[in-house]
Amino acid sequence: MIADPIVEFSLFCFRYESRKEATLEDISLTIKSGEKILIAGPSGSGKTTIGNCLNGLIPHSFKGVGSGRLNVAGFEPASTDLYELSKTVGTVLQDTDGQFVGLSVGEDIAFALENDARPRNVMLTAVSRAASLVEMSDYLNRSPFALSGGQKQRVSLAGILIDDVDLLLFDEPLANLDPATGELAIELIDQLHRETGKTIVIIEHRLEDVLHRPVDRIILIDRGKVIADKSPDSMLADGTLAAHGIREPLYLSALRLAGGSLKVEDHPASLDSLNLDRHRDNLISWFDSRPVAVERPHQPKLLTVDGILYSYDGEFTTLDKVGFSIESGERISLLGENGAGKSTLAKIIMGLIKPDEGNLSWLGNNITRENISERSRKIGFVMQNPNHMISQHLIRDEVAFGPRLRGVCEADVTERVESALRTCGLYPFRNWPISALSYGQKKRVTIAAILIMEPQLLIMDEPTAGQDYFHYTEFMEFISKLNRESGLTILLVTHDLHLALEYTERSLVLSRGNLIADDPVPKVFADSELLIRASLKPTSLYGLARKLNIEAVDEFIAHFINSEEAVRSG
Amino acid sequence: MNSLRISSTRKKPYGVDKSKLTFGLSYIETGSPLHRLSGFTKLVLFLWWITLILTTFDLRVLTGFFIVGIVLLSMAQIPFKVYRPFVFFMVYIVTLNSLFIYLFAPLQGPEFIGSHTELFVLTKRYVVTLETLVYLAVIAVKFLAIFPMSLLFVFSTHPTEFAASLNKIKVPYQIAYAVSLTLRYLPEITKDFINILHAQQARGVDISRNVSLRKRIRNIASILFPLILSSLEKADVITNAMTLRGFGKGHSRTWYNARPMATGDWFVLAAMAVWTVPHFIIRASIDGLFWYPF
Repeated sequence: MIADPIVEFSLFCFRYESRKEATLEDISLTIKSGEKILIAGPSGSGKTTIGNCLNGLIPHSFKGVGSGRLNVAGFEPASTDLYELSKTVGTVLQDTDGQFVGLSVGEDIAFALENDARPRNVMLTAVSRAASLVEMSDYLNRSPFALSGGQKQRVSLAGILIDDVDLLLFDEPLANLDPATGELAIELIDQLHRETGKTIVIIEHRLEDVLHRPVDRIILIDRGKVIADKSPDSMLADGTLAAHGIREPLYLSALRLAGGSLKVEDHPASLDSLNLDRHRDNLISWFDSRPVAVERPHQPKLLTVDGILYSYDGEFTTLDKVGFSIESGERISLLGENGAGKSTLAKIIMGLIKPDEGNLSWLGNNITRENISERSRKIGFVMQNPNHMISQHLIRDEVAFGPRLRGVCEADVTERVESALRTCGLYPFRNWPISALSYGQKKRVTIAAILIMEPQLLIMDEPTAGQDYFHYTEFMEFISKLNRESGLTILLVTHDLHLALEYTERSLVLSRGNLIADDPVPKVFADSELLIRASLKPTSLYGLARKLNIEAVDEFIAHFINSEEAVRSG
Repeated sequence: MNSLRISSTRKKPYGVDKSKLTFGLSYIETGSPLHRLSGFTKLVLFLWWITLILTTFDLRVLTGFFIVGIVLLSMAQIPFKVYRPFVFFMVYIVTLNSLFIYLFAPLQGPEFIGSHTELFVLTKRYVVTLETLVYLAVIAVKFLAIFPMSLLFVFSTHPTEFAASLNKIKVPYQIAYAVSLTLRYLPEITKDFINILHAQQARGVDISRNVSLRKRIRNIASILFPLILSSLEKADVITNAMTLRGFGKGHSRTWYNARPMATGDWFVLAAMAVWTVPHFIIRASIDGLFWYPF
């Protein structure tokens, strides 16, 4: 089938008005009608800018200087009305809350038709058709506050399908979803692609999760340039992705750790298609050579959480008698789907909310009655969104904020600030205004601002949200170093399984307010039934071990973690 | 409040903790006949109701409005516990208002009505007259008559239906839509505010009474700054999302939630028209402002 190109960039350059350097340089690429494309690249690579060029937000909402040629479905976005373009290109934004403008599902789906001043009876039929495409027919009267992130995303999608657009653009569709919901989203996109034949462009850096369903091509963007544009098989075989800050699928990492090299003929694009013939012996002998596991010596119990019960409204329990303990120097992940009660538990540990029942103790002393400021001397809390933490104008002042509040003398403050900034790799920027930093750099500022208070336990809420592999590896590495060198205890609150696998030894799994597991990471990750129960799908390492007929899946995962860690820390 | 209910189906194993129940002043779907009226009718009814109440000082008419209001409110099938706090608040305000009118101007009633029927004497200044009682009753019933209709309007009109009806009475749709957007994003901003408050508290920012007022104000600023920034950021996202879906392109728009006018609507509008005539006849037939038979 020879299809017409729907998108053509040729030697396209773009520079935002507020920036000195070009964000896109000499982009040349073609997308054919009906193709399904993944645009991958690290944060700040320009991949979102490409998306904004397609939907016309550039140059209509974001001003800047462009050159070269761009053609989208026969239009030149720069000289086309944004509204006309929106009938051809439908965009599902990353922020599912921001995109949901209506006060009910039906109303939000109808939004584009309302703006077209279509009569109400036309809207009613169109809405019910679009809602059934995304399986949200039973929710038409629901308010956005009663929907999960995944459901809001479906509504956004329906709101775009209602216009019968030719091209669907997804901007980081997995960013706010837990693993199981993300998998469903990818399946839905694939189903739409097969059923409607529309062109699909997915912008995402979580490569393995997108490849859960096949794509036609991957376009790799870095520093504003097209680095590679080829089939998933050949992209994954040659290993260019890792060099550009994209995490390759875990099963391929395992293959490489075992000393194998990949070819296109191995069909590495998905675990199902992967031909293991050339690699089986390699992997088995790698697995058999694993060292005997050494158990970590026990340390004093730093924090003990006992029988915590909490309810927001006095009617429904958010946490139901949760209990566990954390030893000094441990690295723990608190896992669970969105809404499982993870953040609530973290807030109770911090003292931000008081539990209805239960006790907390710190090194054997009951701290249930201690207030936030007493607890904040022991426990540091890094929130998910750095913009919620930053309250000062200059980086230096932001980091100095905590010690100053505690009345540390100015000479000491300066010294501590400089050392904290050095640890976090921010020293060169110390006199910069925070507004000049990227999201990832802001996150590092907030980490520095907490580390300066010298907590013994560091809690991080969804540290990888809005971060790509390259950038989160950077700050997680120095946090791990603090753990190794000064015994900092770490609790990561997350639904990112890669993160838990890479940086923690033990996992606590919450599901609907109950603690359903408290075990070493390899054991949790080898228990597919447990993971599914907590809306956290098993990783591809599990699938790979199964494909190799390995019984001791947990040992396979443990060996993978240890080998990878050895590679990472050099 | 509803979101928690629906997202969670886990029943707490022990009794309900009343201290945590929260109340909101927002639309509640009960499917009553009043809910099925179009937003336009309800808006017109609300405005008509207030206008007529403000133009009369006739205790009989006001009491009538009050009773009809209560009947309509009960027809809307809103559970009493939802608005109980507002009832207490209203009674408190009305009592306080009457008390202070009397304290500052004990002879306001006789002055307006033009006669003086002394009932008993408290002090030389504070004399209780029948006129005073009638006057204070009129003021109180005026408030009380507006109250059930306001509750009814808020609880039975979906915010976007309200926006649609504002648009129908010629308010530009960009402004009308802002009403619905505010209601959509206010809870999100509240959530951000709590997050920011928590983030700052976790760093040792104290806004409790333990610190001096000056320090407290400075500490509150450290919460407002990130809140403003994050709200502006959110506004950007929303603007882009709305632009991409064609908001603002035309001179007019239609509303998914606008209910078409049905028999019930015409009936209510007709009832309003029918009552308006005798209302003003009664108003005109009284000498002076107040109805006072004694």
